[in-house]
Amino acid sequence: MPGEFIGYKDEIKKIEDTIIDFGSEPGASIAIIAGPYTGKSTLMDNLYYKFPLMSTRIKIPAEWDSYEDCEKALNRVQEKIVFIDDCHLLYRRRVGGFQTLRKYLDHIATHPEHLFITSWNIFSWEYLNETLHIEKHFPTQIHLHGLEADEIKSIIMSDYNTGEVIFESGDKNTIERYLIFEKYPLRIKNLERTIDIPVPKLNYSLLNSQLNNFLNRVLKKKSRQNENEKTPEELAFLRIKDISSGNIRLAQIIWQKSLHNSTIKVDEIYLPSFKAKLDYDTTFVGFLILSMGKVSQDSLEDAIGDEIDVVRSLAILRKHELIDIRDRICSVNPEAIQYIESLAKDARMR
Amino acid sequence: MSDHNPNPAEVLLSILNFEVVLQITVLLVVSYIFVKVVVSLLFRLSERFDSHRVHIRMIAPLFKIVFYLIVIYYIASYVLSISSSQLVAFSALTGAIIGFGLKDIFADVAGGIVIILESTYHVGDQIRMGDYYGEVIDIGLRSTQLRTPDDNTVSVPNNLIFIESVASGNYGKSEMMVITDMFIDPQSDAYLAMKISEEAALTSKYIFLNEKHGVTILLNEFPSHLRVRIKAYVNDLRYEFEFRSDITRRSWKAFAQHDIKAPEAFFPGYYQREPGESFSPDRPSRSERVGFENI
Repeated sequence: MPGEFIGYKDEIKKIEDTIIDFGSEPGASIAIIAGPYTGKSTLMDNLYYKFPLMSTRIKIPAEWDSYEDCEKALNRVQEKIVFIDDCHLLYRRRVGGFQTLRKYLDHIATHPEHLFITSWNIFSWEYLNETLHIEKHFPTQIHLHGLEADEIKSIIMSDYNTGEVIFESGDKNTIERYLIFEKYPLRIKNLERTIDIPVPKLNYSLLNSQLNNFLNRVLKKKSRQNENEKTPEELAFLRIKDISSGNIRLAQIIWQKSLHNSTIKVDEIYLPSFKAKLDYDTTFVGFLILSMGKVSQDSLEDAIGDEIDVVRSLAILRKHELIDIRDRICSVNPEAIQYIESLAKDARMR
Repeated sequence: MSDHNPNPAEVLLSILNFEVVLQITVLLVVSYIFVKVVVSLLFRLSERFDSHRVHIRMIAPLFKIVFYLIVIYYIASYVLSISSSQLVAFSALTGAIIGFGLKDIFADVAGGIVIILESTYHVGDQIRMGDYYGEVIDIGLRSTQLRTPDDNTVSVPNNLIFIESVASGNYGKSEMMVITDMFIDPQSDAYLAMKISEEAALTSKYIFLNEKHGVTILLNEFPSHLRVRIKAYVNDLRYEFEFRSDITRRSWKAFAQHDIKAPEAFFPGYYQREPGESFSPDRPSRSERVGFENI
């Protein structure tokens, strides 16, 4: 039994209302849509434990073989509410790869006596919306947009006692914050030596996050003065929220990498940054992994076929720490989600 | 006192001296280098923003024309200090030059201005003009440069827009419709072929999809074959041919698994041959032709 669930209060209330109303309004399937590591599986678990007697849960594995496995699990269901996690793993991006998903959607449509509560990866959902108009099968759609700063704070600080972590505003001046000095190795042939020359570069990630902060302030009509009144602790979690876009796994990583000697300096909060320049095929493989969140290498090879050298692309993605591969299961690095997303967006991938 | 219209040659000699010629030369060279640098920076910038590549590149020809017109105006007004009577004399001279010798060049320049003002096509568009087809890589005052599918750079005179119709596949956008035709035997399952072709397009890594840009599959019947036509949008016009090839290759891979065949009429006798038998009984196999067994 999981502990108290933090965040997504409105979303949970909407799902609970649908569950309570189910019976009077049959066939109201729910789709919970979110990016990788946003907490959709934890939310599903929490909801499952709220209605344990009338619900069952199915988790689609990353290395599913055929619809038969899924069908067996679905046919065994007796309970009224069916939680199905990671439904995006039911399709593969190849010719004939939608067959299983179509059968699954048919099953949902022909079994109005059950309330199906499903979870989907946002990138797969958007793609499937354009190809199969999947939104028509799910009258209730819940988008998880990430946690707020105070919710991230509650989750992270639950592991610490009061006063155990010290928050400091930091002592970097503005120029130090916006300029990063990178070492450029200069080879002097005559001396047969290489000298590292510090080259100033603009901190684009910080500028970007500052711009977003500014836009948020303007949109939400928050005053700068109000911001200045915040404590270093509040500022730290606001910053973590901005960088992670409310993604709890990423927020936890940022926290761990920013915490030094039980101290968090607001100006020195870790900012993930990647510089990998990927070719089109490798970006596509990275985008497929992002769309699945977690997918087996075999499924990936099956989907792509012989068109792309998958092994090479995976090696490049791994070398740049954009993905992780364990037991032939590929998963996107939480720190690289925004980077791969931006690469795919630039390449106009769907 | 009689009206004296100055002779153009006299006017030219009166305003041109070594200093003026030097000034004009320096101005033109500096302007040329400046335009080259700015255009090159714009192109480099466009490569960094793939999704806005075409929009950024569209600025380049406009900048070039406006800048050169400003330079010409500056030279005429401040360097040459041409008066109204001198301008009349020059007009006559220019008219004669255009009429006799340089009319094509001036038609090209006029064409260039029309292309920019009317936005007939933009840098980055995939166009067909007359016999030419390719991506517009530069619009100059005199000519438009196209990169053909064979990676040749073709210089098309701008005056062609007055006599030829221009077809632009994307018109200022990165995405473009690509039509792919698949020809199948009339005895094959046409519905399945359409479904496979649609999925080949939808799952392609080059597909561009949204509410307005979907995939359309059309079936046409011909006496000897069926044609499955796939209309889909490629996300970047640079991948036009890769996209078409991707759809064709993956469709045929799936066709082979579902016994969907190429039209018998295209390859008479192909499907009647015994396993291992060469395709044309009248013609020796390739190994027989080159005599591999004797090597």
